[in-house]
Amino acid sequence: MKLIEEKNKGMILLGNEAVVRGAMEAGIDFAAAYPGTPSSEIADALAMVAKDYGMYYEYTVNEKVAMEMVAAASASNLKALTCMKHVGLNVASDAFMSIAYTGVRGGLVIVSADDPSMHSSQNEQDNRYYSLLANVPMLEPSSPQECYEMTKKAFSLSETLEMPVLMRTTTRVNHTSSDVLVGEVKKREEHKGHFEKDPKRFVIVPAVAYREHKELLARMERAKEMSESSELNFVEGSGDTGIITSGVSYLYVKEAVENTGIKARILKLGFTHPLPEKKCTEFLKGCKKVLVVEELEPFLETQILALKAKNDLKTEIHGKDLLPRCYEFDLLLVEDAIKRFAGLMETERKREEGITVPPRPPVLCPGCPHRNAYYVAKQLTRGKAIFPNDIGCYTLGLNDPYNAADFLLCMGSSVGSACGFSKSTDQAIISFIGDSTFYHGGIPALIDGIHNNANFLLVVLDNRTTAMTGHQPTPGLPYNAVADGLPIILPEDVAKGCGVKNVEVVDGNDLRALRSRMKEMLDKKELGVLVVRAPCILLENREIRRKGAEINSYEIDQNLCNQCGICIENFGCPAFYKEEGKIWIADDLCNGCGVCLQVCGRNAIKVRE
Amino acid sequence: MKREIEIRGVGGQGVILAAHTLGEACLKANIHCVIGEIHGMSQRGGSVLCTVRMGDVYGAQTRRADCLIALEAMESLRSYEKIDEESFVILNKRLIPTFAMSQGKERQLSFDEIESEIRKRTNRVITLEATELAEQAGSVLTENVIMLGALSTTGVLPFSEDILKEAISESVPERYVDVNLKAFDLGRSVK
Repeated sequence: MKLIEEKNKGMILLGNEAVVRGAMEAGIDFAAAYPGTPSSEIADALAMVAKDYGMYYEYTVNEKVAMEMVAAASASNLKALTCMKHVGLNVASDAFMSIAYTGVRGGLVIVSADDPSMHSSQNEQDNRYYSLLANVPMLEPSSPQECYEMTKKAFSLSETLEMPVLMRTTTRVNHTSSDVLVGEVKKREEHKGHFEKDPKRFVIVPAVAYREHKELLARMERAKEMSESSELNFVEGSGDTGIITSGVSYLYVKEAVENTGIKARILKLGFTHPLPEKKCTEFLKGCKKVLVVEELEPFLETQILALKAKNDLKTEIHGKDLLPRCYEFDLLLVEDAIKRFAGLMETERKREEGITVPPRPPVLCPGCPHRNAYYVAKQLTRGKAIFPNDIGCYTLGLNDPYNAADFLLCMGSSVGSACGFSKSTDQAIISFIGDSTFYHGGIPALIDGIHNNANFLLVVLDNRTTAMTGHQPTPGLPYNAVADGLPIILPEDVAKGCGVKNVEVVDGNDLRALRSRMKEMLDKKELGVLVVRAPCILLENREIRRKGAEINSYEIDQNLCNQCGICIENFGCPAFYKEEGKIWIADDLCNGCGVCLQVCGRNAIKVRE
Repeated sequence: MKREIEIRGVGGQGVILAAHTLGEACLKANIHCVIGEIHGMSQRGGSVLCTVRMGDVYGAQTRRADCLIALEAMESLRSYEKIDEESFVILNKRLIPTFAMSQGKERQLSFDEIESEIRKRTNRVITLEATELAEQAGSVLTENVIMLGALSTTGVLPFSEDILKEAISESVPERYVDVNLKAFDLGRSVK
């Protein structure tokens, strides 16, 4: 496998792959993660290399479990890593805050993948604040090469300081590929650690925490010294016009300075918490004015302003007055900010308006079984029920023609919010949650609902995979990343175990059964769990092709079709299209599920000859 | 030396593979290369953009495009502001309607409309039927390699076509090498 075997040469690696390569070269023993964009390829690369390289890896049920698992591995003297999207760290934050107190034994690296511009997230929170909040050292790579190098560095820092290290990336770093000069991976036998008991350290009761907080602050003092002398924080260029930057913004600054020809001194920070205060103060002293270039929050700028005040410096500080506080940057934006900062440009450049291009938003795939549940739910309730929805491909049920999402906060919120709507309104409620999200965050709220006599129908859209992040396995399947023959945990069994009486399972591709089950359950006016089971069509078709079998394709008999439009306007399968007043099925888009045959009242759809 | 290329298409057209093939070619030619991907939920039929930057570059985001490749013609318009009179634009004459267009809720743009919009910015436009050429080569999945063949005739690439062919041969499964090399040559033959 290339990611393991290649040595001492350049490789084209995705930022996320470079993290895994760096971790292997550092001698990682253990990893656990729940997938989440833009971190998923770290988890997937770990799954791919684990067996061959010789380490333990599993996809966990959620980020909190992953965090707790790697904490235990580290306490057992293993080198461990977990990765998650920025909001995943919210889920894991309870454990994360405590690990800062207990400290670590084996090196422990936590990768947070932030998503400025919310390419695939519910917010663009700046997780650098977690390093301040928890008092955990933080590294911020700019490029795939730095992802590789800093992961190695993070393991050694973690072991020297006996602290977890947060590595904060952003989508542009995770999803950029570049030539990375790698060293050598030493393959080994997967091995176990040994946990030496030390309850006065690892059992975080008040008396222990009372002492450990003070020790944590002392460890951070050592971390600060290391940050001061770290080669990850360096100065380039000369002159009295300064720029302080970190992460991907550094790359924009470098190119912008070259493009504009402005003479600037750049302080590039890679070890951003604790901030190397002496180094920063020296830098400020040598500059008449300084621009802080960072995406999202003024994390560095606030600290730089504090240093200026503390040292009574006259240096002019700019940052969020010239650069936006939301969305990711680009080269042109940084170039303009630097020009304005250097006094070479008066006002912001007006971006040239391109012509309007029809948007191409993602849609439920042709043949996606989620469509069927939404189609039936809308028909039955005429759209009048409240539809709390959740996070996954099925969130696309938000769009026309289903309009099946009215409320969404975070992973698992479809169930907790349904409990709330049930108690605060008299409206009918149908909640939708995917299988992976149900295991991740739906179960505690289900227990709350059943215990408190809440009344809603929870539809578990069980497509037998974590589809949106790239088809990772769930506890509903007999395998994980490496292991096979594992116990299967089905949502209906979980629901029954939680005390739900009104539980049904239905074939997600059988519209008649879906309709009657859903109606019966709604009529009972009590909490019900309907598991709608049908595999993701992409996986299903991959399996059919693997077996060498044919996938059906369908067409419309134009003699029978009366252009009623139910297939397009209500069912909304994107394989259908209108042309010259008639309705057609695009052969290259149809995934052959055949559910449209149940929708058409004229029997006008048939297998393509 | 600095070269900037944008490749656009719809999920499933092989945009990312095309970009990575250029990356592997750079590695062979010892040229620094940075590739950016924006795909979000593109497996679900959304837009895909890959940027490929070569030479004296740092980040993945382009400032302008020396060449824009559109595997789906409409997608080319999303890079409108990145093209100028120096830019090459390679347009596949394939149109994949958006969901709203299929539903008849939005007007379908014609290829001619798209091409004339692009020609307002540059005259260096190559149009081709990559889908048909790919079928000729032996697999519709080689659309992306057809486009790379056309790209190799523009003079934008800082390495020889042989290096690119080598990179293609190594990027695809062994049994598809011949089909892909045929596709590359068909792409090169487009005027």
